Amino acid sequence: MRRIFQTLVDRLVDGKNLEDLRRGMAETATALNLSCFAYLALPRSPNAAPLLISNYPSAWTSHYLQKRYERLDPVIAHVLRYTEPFHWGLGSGPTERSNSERELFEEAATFGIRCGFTIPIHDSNGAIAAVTFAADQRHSSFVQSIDKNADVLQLIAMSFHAHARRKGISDEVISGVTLTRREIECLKWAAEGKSAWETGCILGISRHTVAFHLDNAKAKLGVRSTTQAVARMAASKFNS
Amino acid sequence: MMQVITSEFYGAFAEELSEMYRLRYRVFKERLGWDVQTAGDMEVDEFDALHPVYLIQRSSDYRVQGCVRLLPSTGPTMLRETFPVLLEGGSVQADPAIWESSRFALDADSNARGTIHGLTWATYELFAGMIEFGLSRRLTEIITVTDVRMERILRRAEWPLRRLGRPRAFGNTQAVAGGLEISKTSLTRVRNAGRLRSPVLWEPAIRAA
Repeated sequence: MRRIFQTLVDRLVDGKNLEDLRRGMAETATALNLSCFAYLALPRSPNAAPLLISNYPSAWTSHYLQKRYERLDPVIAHVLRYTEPFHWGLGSGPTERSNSERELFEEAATFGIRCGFTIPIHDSNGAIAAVTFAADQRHSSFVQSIDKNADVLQLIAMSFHAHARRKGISDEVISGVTLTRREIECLKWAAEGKSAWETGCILGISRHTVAFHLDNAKAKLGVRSTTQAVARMAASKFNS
Repeated sequence: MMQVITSEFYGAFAEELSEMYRLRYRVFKERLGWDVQTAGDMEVDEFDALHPVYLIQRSSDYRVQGCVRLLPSTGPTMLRETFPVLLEGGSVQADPAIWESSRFALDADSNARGTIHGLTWATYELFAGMIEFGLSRRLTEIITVTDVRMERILRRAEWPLRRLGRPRAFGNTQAVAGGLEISKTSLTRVRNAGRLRSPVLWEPAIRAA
């Protein structure tokens, strides 16, 4: 198990793009006798598409993305609300309630995805991603293997997520620079003509912290004024 | 007692890393309420994807109770990428002799035998361990983003922070960037201040070539 983790870490560090990450993780899933894995990064805005990196059959993943199944998937619903890793599938975990949820599970089953173990990833705003290891049958060996190795699976999930973020998949990239959610919020309110104090009232933080976020964003963007930073933000929206 | 974990040993020390990420969750998420990313009961951020060196500290009953993360200044650092405002327009030179420390965490030690200048032995050991690491890698300085409370602790431990910029109010604290000297002199000062008599940092003898 430790060698599997080491191998994955080495592969992830050498990886240059998402495809490298995907292959590294696919090898890890195989080494763990699991059919497949899926990494789903939830979009920041409700209408954007999620990011899915997985070795599930591509017919399933393109269908999943096209139908926006992340909005319907009971596993994702559970990820949104809970932070603890959990089992799902026949006889355990989130159960389908509606017809459409049941259809989703049945469709997944036709692609060999019947049960799994999911590790939610959260920040203080809520769920941001989920890593799932799936199998086509709930053998007791599957459950035992997962439970025995839960710690390393959690490490694996976390490492993959950290590398995915590091490889620059983030919708907060402006001029090649990554701004935090707070920095973007402060810039948006500055663009509306709000003072630091007013922005602080709106966001529930002090005006000093607002000033910190604005100055930090400017330092990252390499500009001197808030006006320039706001202009950069507006320009990048038109380009994306 | 402290231990070095480099990337070629992440697999061998997977348990220690798990304990460390859980410690970071307890300290940064639960105790300090920072806006950090968590997976289950572990805390992680994208700088963990840069195969950093981790120093972990064990309590007398062998639990991981302290940790710090170290990255070379020749690569991405938090100071340049996350908190450039604290440099006040200055810059951090990429220098193989300068590394950055981050995610410095210490469990509240309920078994503390006593304190010296208000600091527990664990605090002195963590600082000494960082300096020993620096000396082993021939570093001249460790830079870091910290807060004024930790700055006071460093001063009391006789390892003062050389400020790189003025402190800035941030949340319920004041953040400041600075450098910590790596030298035999600074190690001696911290050891004397904390009454440490011998080296505290251990590394596998069988290091990868």
